[in-house]
Amino acid sequence: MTDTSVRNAAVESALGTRATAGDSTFRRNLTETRLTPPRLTTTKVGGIRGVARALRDDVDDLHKRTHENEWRKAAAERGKASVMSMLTELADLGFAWRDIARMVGVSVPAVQKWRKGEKASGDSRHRIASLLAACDLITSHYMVDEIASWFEMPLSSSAPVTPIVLYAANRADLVFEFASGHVDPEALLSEFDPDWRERYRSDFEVFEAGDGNRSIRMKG
Amino acid sequence: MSKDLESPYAEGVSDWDALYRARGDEVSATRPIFTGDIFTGVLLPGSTGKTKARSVVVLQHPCSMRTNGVDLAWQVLVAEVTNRKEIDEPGWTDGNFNLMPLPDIRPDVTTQSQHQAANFDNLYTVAPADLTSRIASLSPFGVNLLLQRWVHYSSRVVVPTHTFHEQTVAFYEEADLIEDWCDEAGGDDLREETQACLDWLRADRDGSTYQELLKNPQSHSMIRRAMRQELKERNRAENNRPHEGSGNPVGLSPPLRHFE
Repeated sequence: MTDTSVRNAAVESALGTRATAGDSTFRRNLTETRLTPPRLTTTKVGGIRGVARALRDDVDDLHKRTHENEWRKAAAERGKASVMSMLTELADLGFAWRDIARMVGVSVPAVQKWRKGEKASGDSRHRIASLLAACDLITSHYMVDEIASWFEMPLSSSAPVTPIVLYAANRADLVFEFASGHVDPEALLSEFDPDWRERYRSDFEVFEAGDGNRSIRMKG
Repeated sequence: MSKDLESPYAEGVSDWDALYRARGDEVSATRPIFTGDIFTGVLLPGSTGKTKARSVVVLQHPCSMRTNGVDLAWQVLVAEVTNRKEIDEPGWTDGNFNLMPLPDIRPDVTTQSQHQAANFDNLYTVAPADLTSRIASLSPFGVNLLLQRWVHYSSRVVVPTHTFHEQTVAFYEEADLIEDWCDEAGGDDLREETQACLDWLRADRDGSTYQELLKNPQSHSMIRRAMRQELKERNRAENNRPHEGSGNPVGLSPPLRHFE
């Protein structure tokens, strides 16, 4: 018996009926559950909750895998274009060359050479295509406007960690999660760096000084 | 953690590349001189009074480096850079306070000069005309680490690099934009192109300027897009202008053409 069928059986057992979509008994029992909570024991509800969590994890995992698959296909499609035209497209979106270099995992001079027509390695070409494909997916699935600006936006005002930082650290999965809006950004930060609160704690703040330039001073 | 000096180590592993934007012949001539740039061949006296060609790193803060946005101040604060072996993580965070290590600054060699360090005890002010041979420029992280060590050595105060970043990011972005403008415009006169870029950044736009908006990182991508559009239009206008002689527009470098 697969994990899924075990979970299905557990749900059916907990509900005392066949848990199939469109089943009238199931609908009736759910309604009764809402109206008459005493008929279900805490143990049974706990069981259902455990199954629901497991199902949620399964669906999250499935979503990640389908997303990964879609991203891979989109990157392969994007990779048909020349390196120079892909870089031009990224720059036209508003990305800085230094951020493109960081996310592709090369130096700024390497990107500058490619812009002038020097050949990139197959791996670099794939990484550039993947970045463009990621932008496509985030824009189309999650309705993000001004994608380059979004990549430069900190996940939380408590830390300067942006999607660029996540992506450059090979955590595109967290970038997609952040874009989806389904996860608390601080939970994502903790997954990325459990020490982020301490790492980015500062007794200093930046303020605009009398000459119009920004200066640093102690907080408080 | 945030109370210590920081380092280019992550989980015990060094990442020297994170310190640099460019090294050796990869350094772009079109990039404005910036804090953390390293120059060689600067004739300076030593402690014995002997003058010789030395390497230096620019310590002057970006906000006080230029008088008018284009020309450097008549004297620029620098620190001498000499050979120095690699420094381990505790050596970055708990010691060598008078140094800014510059490991692997010359990745192309295996001699002692591969790893160097700036010494905050050997300070000079030099004329901009002496800063001609640039051998490296630092990444934003490298610049902020340099500022952190320099400020700590001068004041015994540790300011996190991410706080420095908040303060310096607008200047770094402006240097990036000027470099990009000069690369794409491709004119022969670097000063003229720099001035043109600054004029564009400082142009009044509904009571504000792009230079002013650079203080907000969320405006950066919009300004980059606007600059690329501006360069496209200038290029188009240049191409439509009648030229004598060959059909090639005067002063246009190959990179500019890929805007079309």
